[in-house]
Amino acid sequence: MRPQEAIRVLLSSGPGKAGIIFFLALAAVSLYAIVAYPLDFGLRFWNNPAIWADNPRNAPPAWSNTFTHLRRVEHTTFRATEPAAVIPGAGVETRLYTFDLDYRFEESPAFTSFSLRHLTYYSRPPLITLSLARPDGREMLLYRHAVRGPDPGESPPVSRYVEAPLRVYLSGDDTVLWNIADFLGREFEMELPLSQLRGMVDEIAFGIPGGDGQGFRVLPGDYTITVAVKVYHPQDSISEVVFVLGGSVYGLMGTDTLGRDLAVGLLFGFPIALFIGLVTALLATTMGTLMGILSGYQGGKTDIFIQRFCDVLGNIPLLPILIFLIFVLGQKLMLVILILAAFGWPGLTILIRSMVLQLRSGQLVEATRALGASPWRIMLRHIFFQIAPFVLAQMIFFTPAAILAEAGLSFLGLGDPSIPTWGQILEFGFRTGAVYAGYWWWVLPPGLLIVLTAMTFVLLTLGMEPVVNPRLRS
Amino acid sequence: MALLRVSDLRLYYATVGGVLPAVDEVSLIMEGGEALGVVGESGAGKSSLALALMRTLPRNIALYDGIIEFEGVDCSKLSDEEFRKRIRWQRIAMVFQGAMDSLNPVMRVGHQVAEPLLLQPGVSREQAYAAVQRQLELLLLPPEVFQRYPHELSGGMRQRIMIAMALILSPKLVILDEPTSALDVIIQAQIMNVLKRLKGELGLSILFITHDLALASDLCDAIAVMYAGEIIEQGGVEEVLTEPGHPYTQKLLATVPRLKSEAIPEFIPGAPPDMTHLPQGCRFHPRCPHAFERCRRERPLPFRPNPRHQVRCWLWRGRP
Amino acid sequence: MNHLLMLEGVKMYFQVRSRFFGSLAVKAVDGVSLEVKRAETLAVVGESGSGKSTLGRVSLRLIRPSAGRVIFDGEDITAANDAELKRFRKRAQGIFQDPFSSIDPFMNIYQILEEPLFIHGLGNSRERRRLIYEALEEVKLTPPQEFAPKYPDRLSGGQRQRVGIARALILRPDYVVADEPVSMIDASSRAEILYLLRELQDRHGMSFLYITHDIATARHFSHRIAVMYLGRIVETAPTKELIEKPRHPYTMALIEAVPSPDPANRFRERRVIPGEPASPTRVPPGCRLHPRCPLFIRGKCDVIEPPLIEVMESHYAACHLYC
Repeated sequence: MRPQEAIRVLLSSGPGKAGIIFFLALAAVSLYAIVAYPLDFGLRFWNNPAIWADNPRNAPPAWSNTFTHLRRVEHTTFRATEPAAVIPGAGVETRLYTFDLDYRFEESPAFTSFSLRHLTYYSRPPLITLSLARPDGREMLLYRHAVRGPDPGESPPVSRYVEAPLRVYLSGDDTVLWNIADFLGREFEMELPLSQLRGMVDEIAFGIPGGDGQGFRVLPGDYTITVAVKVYHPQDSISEVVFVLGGSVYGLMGTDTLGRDLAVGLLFGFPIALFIGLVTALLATTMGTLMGILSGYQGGKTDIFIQRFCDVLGNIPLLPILIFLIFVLGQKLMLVILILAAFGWPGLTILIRSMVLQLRSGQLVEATRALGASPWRIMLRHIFFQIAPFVLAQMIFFTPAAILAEAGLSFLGLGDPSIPTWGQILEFGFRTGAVYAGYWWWVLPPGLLIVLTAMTFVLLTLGMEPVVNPRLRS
Repeated sequence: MALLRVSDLRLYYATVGGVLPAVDEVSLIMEGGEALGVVGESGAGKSSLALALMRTLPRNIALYDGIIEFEGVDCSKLSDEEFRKRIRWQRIAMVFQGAMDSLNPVMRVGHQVAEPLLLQPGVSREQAYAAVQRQLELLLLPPEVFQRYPHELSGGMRQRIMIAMALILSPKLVILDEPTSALDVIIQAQIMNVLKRLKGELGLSILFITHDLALASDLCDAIAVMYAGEIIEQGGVEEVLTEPGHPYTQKLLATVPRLKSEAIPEFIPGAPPDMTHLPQGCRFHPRCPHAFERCRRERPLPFRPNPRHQVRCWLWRGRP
Repeated sequence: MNHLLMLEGVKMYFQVRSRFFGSLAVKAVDGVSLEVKRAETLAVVGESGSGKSTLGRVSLRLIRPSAGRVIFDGEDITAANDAELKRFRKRAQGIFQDPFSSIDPFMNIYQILEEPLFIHGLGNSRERRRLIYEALEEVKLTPPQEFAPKYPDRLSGGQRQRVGIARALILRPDYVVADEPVSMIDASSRAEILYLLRELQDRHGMSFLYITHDIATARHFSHRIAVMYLGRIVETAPTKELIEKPRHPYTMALIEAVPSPDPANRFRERRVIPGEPASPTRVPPGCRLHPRCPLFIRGKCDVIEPPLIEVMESHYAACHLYC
């Protein structure tokens, strides 16, 4: 059967159609992931704690709010590189970075933090003020900070917060506590000791005192966070201002115990799963087909050698060998792929050999030999084409096995740490007790994605069946 | 009373290419003790006719109607269950094409022959085995064959076993679908001799399906020639072989290579029509040397040159 | 020299595993000598298991005989090396039984016919195209432009077999083995293919080894017939002579067994020899036919193997009746 015909047969069956649609979807997502993120995603992003430092840990996805009776705070990060407004003055100007926040949650933020990166000044050190405009019309000064002056021997321009940003954990900062106490006294005539205020910063900032005079209740509405930087030279610059509203729900897929965005990890898992599956299947079927054709067509000693080799290889228990080899040679993805392929071909070889034996005694081979064709020509031009649909089906059939095998290995903690896979996300979840803690958003999606990807190929195999077995065509 | 009377039998299959009229408006009559040869090329609908008579139909049936009257009973009035209990294998048995390769390889053949009998109520194992031995004798098989496994028997012997299995319930009519096409000529001649004897001794009626007109003449009293799902000619073997009325029969007869005469074999140019896209008019007209305007337009009706002979061809109506 | 191909005492034994560890020899061909003359059609007639197809394969050197010699155009090719075999294959071709499985369904007609030219490095692409179109015209697949790009599954059995014939003849071979070329084709088209082969022989003068189970077609399409039984030739003679005056009891039985359309057939039993051929692993001693032969002479036929002797001019039979 020719390719266009095979595709037509494939599309004419329900499973084949579903398989193709799923596969195209997988391929499209993979392509997006590859384009959107660097190839060394694992090292540069996933396993880099600095990237995830501000994220909440073990946060469920934001959409889980739909199912809970309490609207929980959605983790939000505000970034600005340019000021929203500049107020000029004599020899001084104030740059305002403002972030508008529509607070509609029914709890206080888990934390708030503020950071600032790469500040340069030419004359006097700038002064930074962070304040909050609340929906009840009250203004609240949270934080004030004077940038450190030039060190002895340092001359302008002076750069600050280049290596590590200025990062203020507002919820636990002492100056913030003072400001809060001051605010409560001024606005609500409440005098509370600092020790009692500790840990209540966010509760107070985003709330008003409850009627009982003790607790605070959440004050929903529009807040504006303003970062005002007073600079004394027009050339002074700040590269980035960040305000983090620490939530307890996060993004599309939630976070893990290191605060990593699971959506990104899962997204990058797509191309890797496809890569593992397809490359392993390609290697194993190529090897299996070549060996099978050689074994079946050449016969004699070649046949006996290949078949005995297959018997031995096929009967070695794969898992212990894999664990042993990975232990010795290191946790590398390519190594896993090579081993899976190296141990995956003997079964196919035995199948292909029996098909080739049948073909070899057939009239096509006889006729082609009578034409004077060389054995290589017969094997590659005739026999291979006869079994090609079967080989293709076998390849598709092998793909989910490879994906599952890698997931299994990762789950055993033998995955390549530099490349995050779904199996590894699962494994990390299990290792840190996500299952027992009920962190479903962490464990279910990678599991389902593994199943879905495997199922895509199983559907394709089902759809391929009539291509391989003409009796099923009707 | 005729043994079998079939009128306007139609069996259409639903295929990917469209509706395939495998058996189309077939009517025939068989008397008791008579052998009727159904002759045609591959794809002419011979085997489908047999399946329609046996009601062992494949699943993709688009149409199955017509009247099959056997021993005066209208089979179309019987439910599938009644037909299976009363007619199939009891009264009409069949040897399917290539069936000799479908014997159970791990069961002694004697037991396989006895099986239909053992399924009957009130038949003991001893009685059944004795009947099998008689049957083997009738087919000139040595008694020790009973204890053999299929692979220990030659093709000719296995085919006789299949015939024994068909005859074990003493049916009135047995349908043989190409019973000798996989066998060599000498073995074929042996089996034909056995069939001739059975027909004489048991008064058995045989519906003999073959692609070989010469072979049909070895056994049959009457011949029906099928082409593209229709019976285009039927009659006594004398009529059909000596005065074939349909151009297709004439041509088919001329394609048989003769050993004992100088007549050189001919061939029919072209190929049988695509059964899902049949030509208009007579189905043979694209290959017919005598085709005229009417053949291309109208489907011929059956005409009777004499009471024992029927031809579906416009030539018998005379040119317009 | 008049003989194109000669087989001398060819034996072809295949080893098969038997029930217990030992091996058993299937004596497919057991001492056959014959020659195919130039521009002649020699029919080898026999039942299944007679070794006729094996004989054809040996004569094409697709398999190497266990014993004996294959001589083609005066050259012994029994032990030819690859290069010599390739030269031989350019001059000797085969047409096979099954028009469905003997051509590659993944190639179109053009590619199928181009393959032999390719293998033997003949012509540039323009010349190859001319040769392919010529070949298609010769086998009456016209117009060739229309057939060339088709794939085999678009063709009928007869048309496919013509492709097989065109492929075998495109190299203009001197010797062609046609192994049951029409047995899988509808009865109404068989003669057409055989006439085509005869026409091509008249035009190009090649020799045919026509292997068949059907003595009736052999009668009309061969110059000579050799009858095989259980790996040996039992009788060989010019066609007319063999059909009209068969000498060997097996040939007689074979001829008697062929039905001809005759309304009187049904009233008489056919005279037929009993039993079936023995297995080629257990060939009977003496004359191989003796357990079935109606003219069996005890003490002679079951002991001594009869040689092939000339009973009349160019008519040979291997039977003790004529010794």
